[in-house]
Amino acid sequence: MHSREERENMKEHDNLREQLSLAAAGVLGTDEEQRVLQHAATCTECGAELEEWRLLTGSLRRLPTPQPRGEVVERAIARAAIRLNEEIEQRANRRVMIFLVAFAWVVTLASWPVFRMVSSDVLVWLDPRFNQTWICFAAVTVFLWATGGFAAVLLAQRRQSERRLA
Amino acid sequence: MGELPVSYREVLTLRFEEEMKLEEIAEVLDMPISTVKTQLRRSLLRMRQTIETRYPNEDWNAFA
Repeated sequence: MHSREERENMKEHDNLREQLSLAAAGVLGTDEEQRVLQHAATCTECGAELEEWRLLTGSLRRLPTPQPRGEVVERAIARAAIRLNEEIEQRANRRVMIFLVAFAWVVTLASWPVFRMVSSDVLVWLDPRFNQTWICFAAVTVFLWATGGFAAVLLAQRRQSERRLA
Repeated sequence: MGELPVSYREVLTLRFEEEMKLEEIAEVLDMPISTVKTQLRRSLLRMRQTIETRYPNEDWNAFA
């Protein structure tokens, strides 16, 4: 007669053993995979079985597989096209973001001497004390960055809704 | 692999040849993710049984 703890351990072992093939196929979530791998590291039987599943899935990745049905191929191609478009868009968005951040910094830094000249205080350019010019400069910078950020969020939302409608 | 049912071959092809994620396979095959997981597990098991039947004395390392 097994104790309750032993029965629970056996149940856990059986559950995790069923997941071994999926772990080798690389489709489990991080937590699930971690549990399976931890169990396989302590259970000789499951460790050996996991290794066999890995050999099998590894060979499946290398071997040419037969073509599936036409409609499945079409849907797979459509899915791949969507993924490709998403990647292209992400890359373009990243470039725009880098440009905008660089541009914002240039504008921010360039506006500093302009502020100083406008305030006719050219001689104290490097004065680190918080005077009125400093405060104006900081306020305008915060305003510019906040407006730019808000505009970027609005644009992103608009593009997202346009994509959904398309 | 040609001996497996079409549904099993499809799920294996999409996962191991096309390297799709579960969500993508579910979308392509128009089925829930849980069903894809079950299909994938069954198809791997069937594949393994087929290999073991066909090559009863073969060491698994031969597939490495």
